[in-house]
Amino acid sequence: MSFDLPINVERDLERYAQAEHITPAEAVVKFVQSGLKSSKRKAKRQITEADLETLRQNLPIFAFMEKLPDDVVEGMQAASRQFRAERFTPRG
Amino acid sequence: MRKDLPRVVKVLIDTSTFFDVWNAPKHLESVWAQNTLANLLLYQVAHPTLTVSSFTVFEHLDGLYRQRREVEAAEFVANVVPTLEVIYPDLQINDLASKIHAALRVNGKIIGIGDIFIAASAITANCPLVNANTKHFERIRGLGFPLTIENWRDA
Repeated sequence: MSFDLPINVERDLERYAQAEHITPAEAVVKFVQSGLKSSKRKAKRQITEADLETLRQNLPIFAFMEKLPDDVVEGMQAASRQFRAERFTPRG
Repeated sequence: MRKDLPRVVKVLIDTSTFFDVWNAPKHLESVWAQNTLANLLLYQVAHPTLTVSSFTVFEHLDGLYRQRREVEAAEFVANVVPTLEVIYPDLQINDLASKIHAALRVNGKIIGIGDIFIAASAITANCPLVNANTKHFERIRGLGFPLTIENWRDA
């Protein structure tokens, strides 16, 4: 495999390789391995249907939200994001 | 200390984490979804009443009203809100929110007013703030306000 890297990434890799006294190719391999490792992060635990039932039973807000259609929940989330992005505007 | 012991410290759960919870069952193959639900499961053992800001209640209702879901909004008010511990912005929270807003403005780091009041509510209640998008809240902490931030997406 061969890849073309953006020039700024190439410079960063060369600087890193010099600092670590390794070749640029070794620096590339190191970064790819580190990226792959972080993408395989393990979850804290495996959630089961029994866990979801526990949340339904114990938390009325969970049961309420679960009953809503997906598009309504998406609309609520979009509204929330819009609200959080609002700033005070100068009086006209 | 065992990692799976129920959490004792009360937290204020922000809206972004709630939406992670609502979306997580559809994304159980994702680490963020598994972690968010696992953290909630552990937390609710010690704290069956979830603590939220009144802004989170507002945002859920606003989202329902925008979609003309008046029936669901009424159900939320009547049956869901009473099961939550809701922190409303009293004078102490208003005072702190004003200080945070002024500091952010002076330092050119202004964020949304909702975030400011939620942070002020968490600090006043002495609760860590659980949030899935911590970037804005880091600005508040960066200015020296004693805000503790948690992200339940992390294990």
